[in-house]
Amino acid sequence: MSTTAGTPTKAPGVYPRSTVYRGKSGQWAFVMHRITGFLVFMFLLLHIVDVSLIDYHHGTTYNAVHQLYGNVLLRLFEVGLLFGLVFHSLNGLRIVMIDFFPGAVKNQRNLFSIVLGLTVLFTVIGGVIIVKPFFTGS
Amino acid sequence: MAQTFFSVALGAVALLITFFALYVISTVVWADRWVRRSK
Repeated sequence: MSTTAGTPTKAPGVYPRSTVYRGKSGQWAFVMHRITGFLVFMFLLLHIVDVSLIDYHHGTTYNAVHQLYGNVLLRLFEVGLLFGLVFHSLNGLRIVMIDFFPGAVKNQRNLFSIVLGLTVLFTVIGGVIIVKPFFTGS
Repeated sequence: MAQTFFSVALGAVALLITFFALYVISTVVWADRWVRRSK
């Protein structure tokens, strides 16, 4: 709420008619983008820790920690991480596209569908590669 | 020992991400970003 020369003005709200995405798919794209961004950032912090162990105790600590990644739970976590990474990167490109070409807002829903489709495709392909060694043992 | 520490760290991060996700999802209901409040 701001006032100009004593005249109260209504705070500019983000309502369906004024927002770029007008809710729905764009709303969920925003939510997923924020969550996957946080996921990727938090894993990056852990990744820095586990990689920095390489020179500690001649790599035995590094090897011990990395054995954990063979666990099926962590493999499933990595599949989720892959989903988050791919979605965040592709949705980021979608946002850049909409920023550079305002007309693309009209097609943002189709673009979101393409992003989701490609994300699922890459996650399935990558997921098979990540989980398969747990079952084959190689 | 290192495995235990790293497992705890991973678990803590997983919990943090879960709570953050719940918080972000809840904002679409109460933060009035897309839905006009009924008067």
